[in-house]
Amino acid sequence: MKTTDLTLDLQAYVDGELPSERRAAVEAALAGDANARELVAGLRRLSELVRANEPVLRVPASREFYWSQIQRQIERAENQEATRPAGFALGWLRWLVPAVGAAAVAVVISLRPGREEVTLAAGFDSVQTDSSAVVFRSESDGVTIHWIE
Amino acid sequence: MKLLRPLFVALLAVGASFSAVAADCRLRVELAWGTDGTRPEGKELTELDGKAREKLRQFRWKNYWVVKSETQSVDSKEAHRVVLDRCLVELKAAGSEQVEVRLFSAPAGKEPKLIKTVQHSLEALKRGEFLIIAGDDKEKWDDAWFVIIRKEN
Repeated sequence: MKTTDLTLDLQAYVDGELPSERRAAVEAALAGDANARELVAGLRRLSELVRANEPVLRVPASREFYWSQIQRQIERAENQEATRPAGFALGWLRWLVPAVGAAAVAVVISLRPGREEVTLAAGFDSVQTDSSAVVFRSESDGVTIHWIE
Repeated sequence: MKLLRPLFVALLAVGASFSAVAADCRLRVELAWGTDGTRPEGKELTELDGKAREKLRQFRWKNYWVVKSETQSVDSKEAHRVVLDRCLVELKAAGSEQVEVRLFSAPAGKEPKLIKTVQHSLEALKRGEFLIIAGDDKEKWDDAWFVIIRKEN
């Protein structure tokens, strides 16, 4: 077995991704190869370290809050797209798609069950200055929130 | 002149009723700080009350500390300023059914700068609803500030 193949097989072995017949072959190779055993031990330590120290991303708002923000961004983008020349649309999309993707990842991270709806407060409050804000209103909670971005 | 008298009386009545609407509404304006950190030493901050915390349940900060809390009446004739910490809020009745809230940043030694103007239903506040203007803390990552406006009981 070539060194590169063996290294790849050892990584797959540590990750538990080898089919049974190749796993048996790797285990046989390990029995007679001290360097391979050392590499496996190192890979296992590395894997545990990564698992133990993986940063936990916390999103401060609930998923409904974040989804509302995303919805708002999409609506805003659609409105602006309708009023801009076609050449600009591609550049805008290039920015929007990763931004929405990143926000969606943040939402998935923050998922927690059992929250009531938060609706956009369109038409309830009027905001007069330019600093950009997202407005949320929850009728059931009796609260309107202007989140300044 | 006789014709104008009923109109004058009606105007007075409307004005008086409008003043009554605004005058009987006192609002509490609070600046709260949302953080996962503990109460900072050397500062006398109180915990935000349960009712207000419930309104902020969509957010996930562990602690909300009240930095400053003031009450102010809503008046249609003039705007009343509530000075909080590094910001101030101006309240004025806008018509008989709305309150205009103007939020300024007010760093020490500098002119206040208008951040946001919001018109909100006075009736909603009287019913017990909360109006909250909030944003990220620019000085401390992951913290946030909340200006909480509600009817004073």
